[in-house]
Amino acid sequence: MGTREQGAPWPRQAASPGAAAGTPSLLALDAVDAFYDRSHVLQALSMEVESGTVVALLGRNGAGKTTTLKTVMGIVPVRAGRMRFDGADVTGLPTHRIARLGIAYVPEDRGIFASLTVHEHLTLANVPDGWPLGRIYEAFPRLAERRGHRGTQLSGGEQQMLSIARALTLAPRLLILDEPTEGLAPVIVEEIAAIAGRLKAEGLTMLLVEQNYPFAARIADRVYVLGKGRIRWHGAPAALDADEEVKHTWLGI
Amino acid sequence: MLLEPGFLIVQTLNGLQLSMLLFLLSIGLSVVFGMMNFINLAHGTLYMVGAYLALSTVRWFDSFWVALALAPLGVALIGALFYAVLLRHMQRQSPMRQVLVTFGLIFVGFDAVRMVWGVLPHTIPVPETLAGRVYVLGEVYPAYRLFIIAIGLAVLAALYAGLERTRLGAVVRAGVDDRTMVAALGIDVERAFFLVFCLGCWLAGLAGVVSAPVFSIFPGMDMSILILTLIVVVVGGPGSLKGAVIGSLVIGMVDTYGQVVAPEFARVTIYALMAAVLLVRPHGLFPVRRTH
Ligand SMILES: Nc1ncnc2c1ncn2[C@@H]1O[C@H](COP(=O)(O)OP(=O)(O)OP(=O)(O)O)[C@@H](O)[C@H]1O
Ligand SMILES: [Mg+2]
Repeated sequence: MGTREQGAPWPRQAASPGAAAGTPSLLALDAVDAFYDRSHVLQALSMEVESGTVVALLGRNGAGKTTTLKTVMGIVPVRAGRMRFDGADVTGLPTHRIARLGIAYVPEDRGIFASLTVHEHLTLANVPDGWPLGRIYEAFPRLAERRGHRGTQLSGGEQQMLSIARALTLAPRLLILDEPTEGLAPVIVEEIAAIAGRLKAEGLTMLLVEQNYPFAARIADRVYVLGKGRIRWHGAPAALDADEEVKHTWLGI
Repeated sequence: MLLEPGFLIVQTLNGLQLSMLLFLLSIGLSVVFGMMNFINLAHGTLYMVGAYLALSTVRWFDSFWVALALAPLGVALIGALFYAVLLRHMQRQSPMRQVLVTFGLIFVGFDAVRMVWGVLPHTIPVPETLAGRVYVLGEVYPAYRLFIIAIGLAVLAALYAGLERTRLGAVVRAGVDDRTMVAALGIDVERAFFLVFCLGCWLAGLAGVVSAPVFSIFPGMDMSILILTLIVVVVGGPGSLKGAVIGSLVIGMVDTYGQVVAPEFARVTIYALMAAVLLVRPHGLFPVRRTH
């Protein structure tokens, strides 16, 4: 069932399957406001990501999806509202402390370092229980071949793989992906979908921003629709599929 | 006279010596700017303080080598203190504020050395082991000046190894490329930056110590070298070791040859060169590359 959001949209616990089952949410945003200078981008935004689920955040260009992820990472400051991770209040923590709590970020621009080799990208974080290099190179054979190459020498698809692989070296409990399929050839999109599918099967919790609606609908357990800085709808992908009005108004499809 | 080999050899060595001093000064400034967009105009002051600390150390211990070991450490300590008390809070401020505050520090430094060491110029003797002259390609050249070149080359080699082969080096390079992403990997960029800042101060102090036996030590000795250093950073492109090396060589050579060939045009030539580089390559000869 989908839930249309009006006025103060959260908490609406009954609509959240995890809450109903008593699962604590891994990440919870509670009426969060965020700004760029004076422009009010996120308005009373509330959402939850339950442990072990994949949540997709959808919306048109400029809806505020990237800003939401940057707010979670502490890159854009929370001006009002609270943010909780695994029950602890993380509002206002600096980015590196949020990352160390177990939130890994694959940004929209992929965040590949021009002057570092593939190998250096994968050893930079240095988190003891992160994916070991052997396992990374097994899961991403392209990266193993290119371990000595620098960031600038990689194709877009390879950069995206590297960005995801690097996130896994952090031993994340929550993986945040911002449009991982953007601008990539269909074969590479399929590869990324396969990787995301495997991570999901392993029980990794993910928060995914996508413009590629079929990709998101395929992998997500739960969808939030963002429009003009507010949550406009949330529910199961199947329910969104059936709701032509929400799709038309807030996603333009 | 100009094309006489002896003249060319001596002037090239002089140019190399100035280049190495400029390199010691510019690399710290450049990497700090590349990582945090933070410009410390008082960097030349640290060079001057290094020379004065060398002066006092030589007076107390009667040894240049003790000064070489201690004075740069003293400068690094002063840098660390300033960072903790003042500069740390300046990072989120506008560039204009940073410029004003660190510009103010130049005058604070000027008055401080005047009060402690007086206004009269000082010199320290060249260490005995390096007081002689050596033959380079048939030309007589002071051994100590070759020592300055050797120190510069040794620092260059050590920094290259540190930047390319260690994890802290990788963090620094990554920080120059995209510091938000480094933080998103759980790394405290500010702590890495602090270490780099202190290393930059240490190198500025080192430059002050090694130039003390060659140049005279006086309040304000930092100004002309600060300007050349800033030009090196701009020409080379902030944040890159390669940029600092090439920028130092270009500016060191042009300034040295300019001073002997046409002294009245030497500085103008440097400024014209900087303007020309910026016209063709607005981000310097070796700009920080972006993958996105
Ligand atoms: N650095 C910034 N400074 C000022 N405004 C910004 C900045 N970044 C984004 N914005 C504005 O904030 C709003 C939300 O942007 P955001 O990048 O979060 O959207 P998005 O949903 O990720 O869009 P897209 O699908 O294009 O990636 C937009 O109106 C955008 O113009
Ligand atoms: Mg976006």
